[in-house]
Amino acid sequence: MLNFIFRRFLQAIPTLLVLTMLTFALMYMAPGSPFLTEKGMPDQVLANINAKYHLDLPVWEQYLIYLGNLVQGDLGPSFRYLDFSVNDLVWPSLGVSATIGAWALLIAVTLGITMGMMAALNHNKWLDYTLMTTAMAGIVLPTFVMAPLLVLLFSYKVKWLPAGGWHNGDWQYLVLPVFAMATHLVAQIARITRGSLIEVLSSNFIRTAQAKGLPYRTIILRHAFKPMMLPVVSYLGPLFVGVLTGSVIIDVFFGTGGIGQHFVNGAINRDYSMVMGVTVLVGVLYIAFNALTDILYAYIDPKIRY
Amino acid sequence: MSLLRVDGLNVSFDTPDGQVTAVKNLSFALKPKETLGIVGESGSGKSQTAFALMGLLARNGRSSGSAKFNGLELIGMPEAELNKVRAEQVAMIFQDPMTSLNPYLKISQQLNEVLMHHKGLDKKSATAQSIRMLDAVKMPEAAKRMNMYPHEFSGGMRQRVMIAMALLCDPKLLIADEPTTALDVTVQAQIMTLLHELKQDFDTAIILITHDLGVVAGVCDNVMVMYAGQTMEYGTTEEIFYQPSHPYTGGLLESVPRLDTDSPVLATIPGNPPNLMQLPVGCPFQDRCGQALAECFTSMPDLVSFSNTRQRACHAIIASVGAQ
Amino acid sequence: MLFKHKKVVQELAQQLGSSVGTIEGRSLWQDAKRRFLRNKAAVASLFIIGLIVLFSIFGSQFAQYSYEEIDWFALSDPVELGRPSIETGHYFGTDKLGRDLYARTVQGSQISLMVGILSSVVAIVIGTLYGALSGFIGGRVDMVMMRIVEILSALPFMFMVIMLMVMFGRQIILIFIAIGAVSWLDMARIVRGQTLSIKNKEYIEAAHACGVSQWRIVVRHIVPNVMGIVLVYASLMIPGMIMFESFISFLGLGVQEPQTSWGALISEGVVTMEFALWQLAFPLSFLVVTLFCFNFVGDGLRDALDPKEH
Repeated sequence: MLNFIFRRFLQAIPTLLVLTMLTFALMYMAPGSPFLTEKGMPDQVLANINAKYHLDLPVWEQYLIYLGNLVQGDLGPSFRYLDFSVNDLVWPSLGVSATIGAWALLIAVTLGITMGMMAALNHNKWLDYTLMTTAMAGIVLPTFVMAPLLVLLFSYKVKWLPAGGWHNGDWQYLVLPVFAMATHLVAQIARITRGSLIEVLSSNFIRTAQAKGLPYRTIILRHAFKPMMLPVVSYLGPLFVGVLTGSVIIDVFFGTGGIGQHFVNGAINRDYSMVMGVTVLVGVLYIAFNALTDILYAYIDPKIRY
Repeated sequence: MSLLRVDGLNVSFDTPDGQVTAVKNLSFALKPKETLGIVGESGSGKSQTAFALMGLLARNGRSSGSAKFNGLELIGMPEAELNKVRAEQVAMIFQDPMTSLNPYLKISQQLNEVLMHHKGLDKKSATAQSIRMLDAVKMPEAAKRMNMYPHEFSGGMRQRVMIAMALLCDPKLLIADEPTTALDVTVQAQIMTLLHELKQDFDTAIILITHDLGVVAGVCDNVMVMYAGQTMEYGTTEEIFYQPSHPYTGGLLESVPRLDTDSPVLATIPGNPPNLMQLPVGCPFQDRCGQALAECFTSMPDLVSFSNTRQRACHAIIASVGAQ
Repeated sequence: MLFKHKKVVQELAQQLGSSVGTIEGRSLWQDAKRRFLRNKAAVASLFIIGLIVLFSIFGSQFAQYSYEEIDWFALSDPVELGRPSIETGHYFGTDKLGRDLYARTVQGSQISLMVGILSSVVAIVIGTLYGALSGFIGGRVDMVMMRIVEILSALPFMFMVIMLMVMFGRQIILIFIAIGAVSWLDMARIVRGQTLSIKNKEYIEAAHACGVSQWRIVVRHIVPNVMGIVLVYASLMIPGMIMFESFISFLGLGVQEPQTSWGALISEGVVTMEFALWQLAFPLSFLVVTLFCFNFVGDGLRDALDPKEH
């Protein structure tokens, strides 16, 4: 098992390199990029970049410098906010996004699996249909509709919760953003769990467990649970992406000040450095998350470990 | 006197295309320590009979009739009570040991849980008992193997694990559903020998379900031949093999390829098994039978005893059936 | 030896084929079609999708305004005069700039559906070819090709696409390519997996042993079996694409004015939700209904093509 973990993390390295190469290449080739042209770029920015990347050097050397900076955690200077580096701007928002994201993931996984299991265990009965239609609704309603709907309901109509802002992470300010983000995720996990459990329950080894006279609960929790979780674990990667995508909307809409906000602002303001920096950061997190997911999968399925 | 008495068992399935009758009016009895072989082609209903007894039919399956195990009515028994019968009184092993064992759990867990749940043993005693049982099924290095996963075993060894698992609580009846079909011939022989020995050591009655006549010959006391969900004939192994009284049995025996004759053509039973959704009136074997009479097409022959050990369901006279 | 005698084989074949009361065999596709048609939700969804497609193509015939024309009169009191009504000819009402929402919805349907379907086509074509090739050739080539897919899938898709769009502009073509270029990866992996499992099945070996040429094997055995799973994933991919287009439109990075899409209309409608609900309701309904329908069709296809009955 340890062997597998080690090998898996090793596998992540070429992927990380490709990520950095791609982002660097994009930045290099983009129109209006300081790497290619001196027009349209405020002198100060040019000066900053020059200092950082030594634009007079050949491409591959510039890339290595870029990589070197990255490894040290330096995401480069911002093109927009001339006195700040991307790090300065992004660092504080990381905490916000992480909190909202973590809560959303937690709720998505626990609520989603519960719903999925309940639906599967009541296959084709009314509970199944109700739960799955709710899930469908969660999937087709985009987050950017869910968010305003929730605000309309809970902030304006019944005035229970604040409509936006962060306020140092007080719980009232967390509820709506987390909920808006989690809806879509809960729905996906519920569907996957349900499908998975239904399929697992028709396996031969479940029949053997029944033939052994084991009680229903034991069969579900000890025999069916692990194989049921496999597709869910596989989905954790896309789930993480869902959190990222959702966080962009949540930040923009609720004004919570997370990473998403910086990303979108960067996109609108053509602050390439910011956009790239966030992309690299997110990319690294994603790759790490994927590695963890694979390891979790191997923990559940002993056949994969070798 | 009987350990198991099945009377008029019916099993059918609701499908979108109609109702499929898998087992029709099946009756037989089993004495303690007896080994019964149930023989038939694929689709003859032999496995479904076993599933019906164990309460393991698919969601769209319906069973009716009676199956009394030591006086307890198994058909329609609620799940909670059935769970006390399963593993403790009646155990079952299945055809494909790879998919019948849980690939995600160590076999120690799969063995121990039976003892811990049914006998209330703690983990340590359960483990010790399980290891002893693995030794009984001739599993090499039993203690070490306990910590392995099913995919680390070969087919034959997995089947041994299943047999061990089934015998842990010393059940009175073991139902083996085609236990050797998924294994190769040499391993087949080993498993059958094992079952034979265990039968003697544990005093278990066995119902052996198979389509392979060779498997039946070595182990079974009595044989029941099924076709299209109904009994065609019943008798001791010797009688069935040497003096079949039903054209179907005769056909089956003749189809077995022989090395001692020099026939250029393999004998077969012409035709195909009937559509179970549209069973013909009369005997289901009618259009493939060499001895079919007019009444075979109009009425189903009853299962009639014609000696203390034999029964047959056929209109044709016995003498006309090919004997050996 | 037995089979050297063609006559004996023919006789046997005849015997097997002429049995009374046997069930007529059904091909996989016939079986699947039957099962699909039995699924009322899926059939209804297919019908509704058809209606929406017709709407997007012919809807503008019924519009009384163009999608960019500003109705100054309605603008004077958008909440009251901008309401949906048959008399004013604004069937869906007006948006906050006084433009006819019906015409804009029709136009938005065209864009959204086109993006959804076209990027799916791009992703499917690239993915299927790549995956089938990789799976069929096998060996080292397969390993390398899959490694590439692995590495590319590890990159955060959405961010890359947005980066592409920020840097290279917002033409529609670019949107298709960007989305399609990143989505083919999943399809490639699935097709490759399916190709591998089919390649190893006994009936391929049997066909090979009977002397069927490689090409025929691919065409007659592998392709039909792969198409099934491709169809299922395609129908599940399309809604994802439409959603994604809506998302980037919401961020302001999608189609440029005066053209619009459901996503753009919705993001405009969200702002005026409280007093001009119709501006949100109409495009949102179209989006939601379309997504629902594609999901049902996808589920229906999956149930129809998967022999395991649940």
